[in-house]
Amino acid sequence: MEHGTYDEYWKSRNVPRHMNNVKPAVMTVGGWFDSEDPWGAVNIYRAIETKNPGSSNMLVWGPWLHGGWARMDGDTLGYAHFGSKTSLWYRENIELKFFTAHLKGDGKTGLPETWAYMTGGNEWRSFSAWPPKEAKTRQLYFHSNGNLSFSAPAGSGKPYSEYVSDPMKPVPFTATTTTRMGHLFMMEDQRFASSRPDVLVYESSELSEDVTIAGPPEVNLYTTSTGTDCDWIVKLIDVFPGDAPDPKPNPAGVKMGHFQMLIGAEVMRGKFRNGLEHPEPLKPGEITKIVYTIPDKLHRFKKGHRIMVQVQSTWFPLVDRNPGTFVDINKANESDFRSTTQRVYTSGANASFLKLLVVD
Amino acid sequence: MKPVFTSLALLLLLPTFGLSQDSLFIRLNYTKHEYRVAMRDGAKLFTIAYVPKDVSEPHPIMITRTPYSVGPYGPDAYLKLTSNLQRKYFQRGYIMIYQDVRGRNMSEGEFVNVRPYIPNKKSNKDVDETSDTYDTIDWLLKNIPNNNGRVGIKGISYPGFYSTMATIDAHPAVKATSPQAPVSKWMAGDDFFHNGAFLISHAFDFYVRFGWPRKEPTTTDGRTFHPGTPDGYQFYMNLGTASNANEKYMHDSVAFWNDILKHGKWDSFWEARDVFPHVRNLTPSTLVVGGWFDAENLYGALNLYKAIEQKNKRHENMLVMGPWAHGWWSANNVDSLGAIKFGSNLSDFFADSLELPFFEHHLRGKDKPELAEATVFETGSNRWRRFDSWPPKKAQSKNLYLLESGGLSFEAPSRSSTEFDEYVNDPRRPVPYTNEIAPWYNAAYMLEDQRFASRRPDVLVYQTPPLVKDVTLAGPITANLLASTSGSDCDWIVKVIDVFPDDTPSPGNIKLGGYQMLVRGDVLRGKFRNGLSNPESFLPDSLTKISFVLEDAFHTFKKGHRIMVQIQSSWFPLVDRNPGKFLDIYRARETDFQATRQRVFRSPANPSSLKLMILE
Repeated sequence: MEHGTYDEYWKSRNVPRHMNNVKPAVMTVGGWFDSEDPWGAVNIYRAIETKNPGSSNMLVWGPWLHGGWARMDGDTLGYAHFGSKTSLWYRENIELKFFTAHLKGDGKTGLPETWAYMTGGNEWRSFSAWPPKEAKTRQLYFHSNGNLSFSAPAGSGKPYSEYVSDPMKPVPFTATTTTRMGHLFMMEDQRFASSRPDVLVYESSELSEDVTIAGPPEVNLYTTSTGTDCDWIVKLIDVFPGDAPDPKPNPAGVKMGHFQMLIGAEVMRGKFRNGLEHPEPLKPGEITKIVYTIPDKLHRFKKGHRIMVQVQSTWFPLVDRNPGTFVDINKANESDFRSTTQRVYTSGANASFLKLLVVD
Repeated sequence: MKPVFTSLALLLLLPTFGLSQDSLFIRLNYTKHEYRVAMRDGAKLFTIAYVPKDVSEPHPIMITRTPYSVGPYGPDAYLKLTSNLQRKYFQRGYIMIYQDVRGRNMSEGEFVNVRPYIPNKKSNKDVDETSDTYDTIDWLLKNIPNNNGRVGIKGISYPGFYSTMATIDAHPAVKATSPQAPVSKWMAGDDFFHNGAFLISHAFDFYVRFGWPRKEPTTTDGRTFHPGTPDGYQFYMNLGTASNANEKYMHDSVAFWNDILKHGKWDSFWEARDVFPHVRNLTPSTLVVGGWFDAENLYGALNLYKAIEQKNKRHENMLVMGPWAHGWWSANNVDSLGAIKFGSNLSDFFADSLELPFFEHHLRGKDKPELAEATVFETGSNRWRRFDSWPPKKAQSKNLYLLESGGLSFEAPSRSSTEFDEYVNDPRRPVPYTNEIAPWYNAAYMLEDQRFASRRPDVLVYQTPPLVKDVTLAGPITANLLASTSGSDCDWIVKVIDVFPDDTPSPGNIKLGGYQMLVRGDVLRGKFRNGLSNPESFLPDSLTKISFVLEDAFHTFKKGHRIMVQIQSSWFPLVDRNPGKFLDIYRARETDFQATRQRVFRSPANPSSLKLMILE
């Protein structure tokens, strides 16, 4: 509560910056559905990579919740089935191999730089770098009519979409009644959110071919708010076809037809848009560019599915409520809460988009 | 009014024990006959009779007439019993009669939905359901050997309508009838309409299966329909408006769908299909049955009982209301609905203590059972209670006022810093009626946890402090709102909710702490606020009186619980979307949709309240 900005207190607790002179071989492991530390996994890997060229450094990603690779079989998570026991496979074919080679053998693991389990397509893939070198950048544009497309808006139509965000009626982060964060919201059906008036929904047409993303999706929003602070939450979603079969068995009773599976999401607290050290108020009504990344993904949106993006300004109680006013939120009272009108621009130089890294 | 056993089979796993034994029991003890019984105009109605082999005493006749097929057809195909209740009639040796109504399945003639009653029949060509029932009974008494001359009629849902019609101008042999969840007055409150609002998902899904023309008598009827998604919200969003249904799915072939779209207000078409004016001079005793959580014909059960009471003095007319969804009293002890458990052996109690004693007395001269005028289940306290009237005479009306800052109180507001609360209703983002992904409707929506709705910015929420003593609601609820809209039409949905204490124990995975149990909710299509025959536009942003009746409830809000009221202007896809403009909604296009600013006033000068019937 005392350290509301990125100050010395937090800087002295920054691990990646100390990853110098790393001698041991390192294998960093992360889970696509880890609600706690997916950032840590990729940023430790990246820091070692950057600061220790030529060191033995590798990265593993699987369809796991926090620590799921170590304590579960990894064949299912919530309603989802991954087709094989991915954690077991990791433990036998990656972790054991890694330590055996380094502790009992000659250090030759035979493992690639990156092993990553591709959700959506349900297979392990290896890459010589992360994100994959071969990945191509593609921009997925928001259109004010609700379309989502790799083509930029033509310029006709309303130049923005808008909603009112009210901290007194925040958008829930889950439809489940729970007092805890848990894990499964990371892959939860987002239909409970897309029906709300305070959530913008952009949806592609049915994909005519598979689209596979690898690496961190980058959010590029052109926005205004009527407040002096606000949050932006961007969610990347895989929409299943209407006739998608339900999982078997299906103890949770999910209905996969038109299911909106959350793939990745992240929040940006508006005042930190230019850095965590220097909170800056928003100028009400002034178009402001918001750029940040969603944690890494390797996901295949299959032919016949749709890609959806949702934009909202609350994600409660996963994220505390931004009062809509530029204050030290840790010390704010409910009386500070203000409704704000939030606009996302979709036109010309202010066309908002997600920058995706796409592989075959 | 969907066929009750079909819907049950979809929703529950009925115990299957004894089915083959049942079939064997009927085969050993009954003879099946199939008759084509001629009506006065010559049309022959297909009638199946299961007649007891036992001739040691004469037997009463029990009739159910249905548009949902009397199958299995064929002299050697015997009924498979699906409910304990039905089994009990066979075990007691009733002559069991099942008839396809005129124009359905194997019966000749033309089918007419809720066929209008003809009060003054002038010739043999003037036929209706009362005359078809009369003619059938006349034939049965003469042609089924060993009958005791007494006839009972019962049925659920659409067959409940036929039971009502059998009670009007009844054949003298008809001693007792039991209309159960009876279709009674469309447009006003049953099935497809509530206070003029169109329950599109129920109507569409019913008629896209049931409504197709029949070329000739057939053992199979209706069609299957695959919406292509399990997600009703998505399906009806994709449908857009009711006006698209023909182009996309029905191709102008479903006559009654077109009738609905043609008759967008109360007119002579609907008036002719209102049974209430005709339930006069009744001779059979009546036992009207309904479920507090019947999404289809709650209105019919409560209002048929009331109409019979009003129009027939010194006539035996009784009401049974239990904590059931549509027809669930005839299922096998379905003792909970959704997250809420009500008790145990509820349908055994209904069968053994209410329905069977009623018919056994009237049809077989058994002792007169001590049936109360009203046997009603009190939810919240979860107990059966008996009253000599419904609503109970002792119930007193009391106003529950909306207050500022989301307050709710039996005390009128004495001051307030602001006049109203407001929200924007956008037909392009309607409030869901359920948190479940459901293709038709979620049978448990009528008591579903409303937390998913109270968290939305387009839903107003008012609640009392924790109650210091039990509050029992017994009777109808009247919403009296002072409100405005920025559009020229809109819907108003009012929901009365029981908020459980946070520390309520959770059985299994169901979280009941803080649960917001819907007790009663209903909708008014705004333009019908001054009458269903009288649509009137709203003057934008001007204070307007909104008054409508939500159906009866019998519920105790326990000490420590709270009473909550929610107000919203969409309830989708239970109710089609009001475009926010005064026009014929059945001809509306999505381009007509506009967001409207909805205000509910709650100041001392302009209070809004709910009138409740409170039983001390």
